[in-house]
Amino acid sequence: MRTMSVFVLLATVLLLAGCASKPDQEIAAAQKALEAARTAEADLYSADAYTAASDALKSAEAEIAAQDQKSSFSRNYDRAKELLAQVKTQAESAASTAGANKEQVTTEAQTAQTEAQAAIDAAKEALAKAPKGKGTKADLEALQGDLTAAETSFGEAKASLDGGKFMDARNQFKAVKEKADAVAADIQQATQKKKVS
Amino acid sequence: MPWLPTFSRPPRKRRSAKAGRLGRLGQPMALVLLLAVTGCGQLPEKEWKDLQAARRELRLQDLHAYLPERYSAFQAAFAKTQRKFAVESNTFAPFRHVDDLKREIEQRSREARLLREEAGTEKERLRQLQQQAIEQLENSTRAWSAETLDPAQRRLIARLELQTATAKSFWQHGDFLKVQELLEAVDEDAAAFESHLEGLTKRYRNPNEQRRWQTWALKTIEWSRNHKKAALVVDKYNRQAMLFSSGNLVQRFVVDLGWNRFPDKRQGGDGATPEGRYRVTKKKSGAQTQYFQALLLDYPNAADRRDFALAKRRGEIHRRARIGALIEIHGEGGRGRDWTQGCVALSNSDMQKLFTQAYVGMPVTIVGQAGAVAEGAK
Repeated sequence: MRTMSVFVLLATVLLLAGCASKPDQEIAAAQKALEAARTAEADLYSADAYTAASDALKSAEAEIAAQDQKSSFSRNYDRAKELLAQVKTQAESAASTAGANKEQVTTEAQTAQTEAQAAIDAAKEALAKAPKGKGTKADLEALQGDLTAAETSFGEAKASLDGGKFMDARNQFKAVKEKADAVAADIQQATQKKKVS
Repeated sequence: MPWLPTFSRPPRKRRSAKAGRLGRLGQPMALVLLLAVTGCGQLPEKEWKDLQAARRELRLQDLHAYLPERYSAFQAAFAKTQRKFAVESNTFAPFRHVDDLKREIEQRSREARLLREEAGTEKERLRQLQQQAIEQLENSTRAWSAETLDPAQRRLIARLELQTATAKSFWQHGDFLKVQELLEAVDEDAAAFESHLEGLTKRYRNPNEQRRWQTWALKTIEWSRNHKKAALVVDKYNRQAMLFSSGNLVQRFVVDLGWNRFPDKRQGGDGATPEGRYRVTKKKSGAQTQYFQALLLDYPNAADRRDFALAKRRGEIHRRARIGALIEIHGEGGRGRDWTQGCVALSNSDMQKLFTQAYVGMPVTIVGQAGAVAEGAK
């Protein structure tokens, strides 16, 4: 009778232990958090945290696969759950950091846009005011060509900004500003030369 | 077998039932305890974490993109090790194959280190190549821009400059993969522009054109020799004017030309300097010119009018196009680039020298390239 009781108790314990279920909910939550981080462009704006989170997910998947190979009585998904919780935390942190970093790049791109626009306006004004004689005509027309190219690039940079490609936009606007500044300086030089002659 | 020693088992001591049970359990328990104390079966957690960090580092520095095939192979091996680690960590400690796992992790770590070194070298190589490419593009666009005032060409050059500047910004931020992508696009545009330039200068390599220009130049020099008078030959390609006196070269001048440097003039406003055999029709100075001193040429001459009419008939130029006029050799030049509407400009000091030698009726022959004539006149 006593032996029987021990056997029943042992079987119950084993059965309970074997009931460890796959952490499907945790997997879904971790994947969702990682997907949200990717949507927030964490892979671009918070690559460090995003990579750590996706690595943790791979570790969790390997752990789950290892547990799946075991007999149903000895499976234990505790470590996998721990790793999945880590994925979720890291992914959420990556999304949040990405948000902040993206905002900073967006601000930089917008500032660059304002500066590029101001530089184009200044160059246009200088070009309009420049004395157009036979000696400066070709110079000014050539500089108008340069400015037209800068304006075209400005449009492309704006498209990048509107399309959410903030890093592209920032660098394109910077290039436009440099070119428009150079055009303005050349106009001034051409005008100066005209005055001297 | 008599030579074998004989053993006799000592008589077993009788143990109590309790002591017997303890003895049976005690031996394996002691073994497990011993294994636990000696650390046998302990997972190489630190090495594993280091390997994970090394792999993350490879990805963070985009090194995976510099040697993609090698990185894929490493990833596959890493995944295998990761599975092994998971299996071993779920195995009862005494039964783990820790040595195997350690060896595998060490192997992966070595691979990661090697990959990082090689990808780092590749990244640095790319960084330097891109730096050179950017510098080369900057130099080319600067030179092209200084060479021409043609608004259409300037637009193309400015586009290249802007693209190069954008690539440079990414390069400064260390995003070499993006730079690569941008430079490939710029290179294509630059090659197209170079081929456009090559197309413009194609006629300068045409033997028929070369012969025609040489004949004009030689006839002009011969005229100068026969009439013992001054004559001027302008070489557009080399941007120089050669003053001959009695057939001998007496002076070379650097000249600025029409902003549309390479083609022959076809119509007014095209910015090209006409090619042909002309004569000075008027000497201008003081209030007569805004360019210090000037020699007005008889452009368009009969040949120019004939070519213009033919081009119109063929529909090569607009039917309302005008032939243009007022082509001069004048001062205010020496700018080192082509900026006039089709005239030939000299620096004021050179213009002064030329002006004193010039006279109404002086032959001025403008050719694409004087070639051997210019060489022989050295």
